[in-house]
Amino acid sequence: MKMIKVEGLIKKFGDNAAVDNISLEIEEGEIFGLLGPNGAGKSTIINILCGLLSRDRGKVEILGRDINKDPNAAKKNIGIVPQDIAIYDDLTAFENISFFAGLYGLKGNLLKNRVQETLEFVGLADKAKSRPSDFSGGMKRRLNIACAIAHRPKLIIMDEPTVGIDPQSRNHILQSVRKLNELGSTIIYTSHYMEEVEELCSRIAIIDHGKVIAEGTNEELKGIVTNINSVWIMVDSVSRVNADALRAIKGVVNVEIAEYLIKVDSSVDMNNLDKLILYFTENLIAIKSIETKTPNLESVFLTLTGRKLRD
Amino acid sequence: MTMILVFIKEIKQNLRNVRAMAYLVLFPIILILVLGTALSGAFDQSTIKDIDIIYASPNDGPLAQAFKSFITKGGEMGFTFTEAQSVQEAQDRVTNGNYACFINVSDNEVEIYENDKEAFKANLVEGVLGSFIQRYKALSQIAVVNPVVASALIKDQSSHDFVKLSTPGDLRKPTAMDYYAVTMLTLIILYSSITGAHAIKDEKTAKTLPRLLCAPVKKYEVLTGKILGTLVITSLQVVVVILISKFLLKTYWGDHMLAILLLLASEVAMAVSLGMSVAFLFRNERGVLNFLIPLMAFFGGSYIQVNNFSKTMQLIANFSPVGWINRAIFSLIYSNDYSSVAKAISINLCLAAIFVVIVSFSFRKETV
Repeated sequence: MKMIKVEGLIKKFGDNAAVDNISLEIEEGEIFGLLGPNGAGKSTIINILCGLLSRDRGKVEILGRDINKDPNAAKKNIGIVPQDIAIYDDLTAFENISFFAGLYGLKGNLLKNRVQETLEFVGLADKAKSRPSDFSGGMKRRLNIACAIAHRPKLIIMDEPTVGIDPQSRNHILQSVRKLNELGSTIIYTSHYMEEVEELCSRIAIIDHGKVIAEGTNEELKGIVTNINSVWIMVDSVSRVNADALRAIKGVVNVEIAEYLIKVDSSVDMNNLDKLILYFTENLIAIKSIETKTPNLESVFLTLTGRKLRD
Repeated sequence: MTMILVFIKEIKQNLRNVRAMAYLVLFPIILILVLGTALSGAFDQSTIKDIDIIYASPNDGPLAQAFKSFITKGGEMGFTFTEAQSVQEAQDRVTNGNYACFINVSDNEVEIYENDKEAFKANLVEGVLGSFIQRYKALSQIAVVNPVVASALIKDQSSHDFVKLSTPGDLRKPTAMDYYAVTMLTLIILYSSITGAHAIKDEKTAKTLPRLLCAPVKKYEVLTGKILGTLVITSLQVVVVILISKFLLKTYWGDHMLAILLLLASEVAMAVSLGMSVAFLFRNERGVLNFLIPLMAFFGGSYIQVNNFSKTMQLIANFSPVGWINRAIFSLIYSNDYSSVAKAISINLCLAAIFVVIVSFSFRKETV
């Protein structure tokens, strides 16, 4: 059964179309990634799915029910992990989870047990009676997730759940996402960290300017850029490297210069590595290493939009 | 269910905000003590002995005859009556402060003109006069059914038992401490609008409002839970302040505590809903409330008695909901006069209803 079916969705703010005629289908049991730069329209799509924003046009169904016709029936099946940490600092971790789970109709012993299980799931069982004001950023993020999952929703929407946390907490959260999926929840995961999306998601939609510009599995998306060869050249100093001169070499489609690193993307059918090396030797720039890179979602986005994800 | 959950959450959050709780309880107590002590000279009488009343009763009808019994009774209570030469002269003399009030008795009605600067004395007379009129009306009804009995009752001046002539027993006037116990409490209730504003604003600051609205809940349930939670917390604070001022500071609250609590509850409802609507309508809700509250308090007589205002200022004072509450409470305590209670409660509840409509409308439109 389809968990989500979106057809011709449009949402405008003034003249600006935040969501511009998007259609998506998400199957039950998927971890579906929404990837795009800030302001691409990911959060607007999520807010419409959660019933926080009304749509201007289009159709949105969750488990076959139109969310406009029966919003509360749809909402019962959703758990939302908002981008901003949304918990009460003056309630304990237990009370926070208990309050939000209570809003979904859980009560009595079932509520208590679920809250306890959820605290254990996110690794905060020993902090049940502590208030979030004493928590680290990572712990707050975990509690933020706990408040969304105690009622065991069929669909969990995670909006940038790993923003601004340490690597350890990030790993914990990514593991939790996988575990929740294994337990049967469908997950929509939005991020502008392409590594996370690449690692977690079974299917991905790349969003830009309110449109889906590409959709498919990780491999399918990377297939879009199989015509690009990426070469990373490390040098002693980039001060004498002229990006325009590199771009002028036949077959080069993009050049990026970092501190000691020059990233050069070329058409796969143009074997120009010798010309690239020649440029450096002629200009007396010492090459420390050369590495050929396989395409990733970043290069997919770059190919499709001419911009980087984090631009 | 949602409403109860939100209600309990609001109560917990407010009770855990020790600073705000302490502020709303201790602040009025400190103000009562400071102002009550510092301004005790401005409230120089704790009892009223001599009240000068001018009256006109040119006719000799049944009402005028009965009024004579009021003069007798009033004399026993320390009222001094002077017959007016003309209505105009009597009104001028009341305006000039020579008399507390002017009572004009015609064939069918009794009118009373009060001097605002002697409001407490005038209210006292009004209270006694009210009882007298009540007695007269009862006699009139009896006369319709049995004129003989009525006539006998009129002749027997001592026979008052069939209608109790209720008088403000100890003829009190508020001391500074008594005055500020009332006005500082009603002032601090105005400040509970900030608690109301926080009930909305804190959800936005903590980013929990979108999360609440994502749940399968009805917005009105969330809103009702919030309003009720804030009302209960503020009412609790009010009761604590009353108990401390009554039993610790020994201020006088009269014999009509239930009616006073109803008046205060209506002000709490007005203040809390005002705060919530301001939180929806303005970004700087504290700034707006900190501008509105002192204005309402000043014109409501929280700092100085409204009787000392000029005519224009007294007119403006009518727009202060807390002024109506203060006047109604003082009339209850010192004149046993219930006439302003319904009006004060109605004004505050009407305002509360308007604010709740604004809040409901704003909340319905609320998105992320």
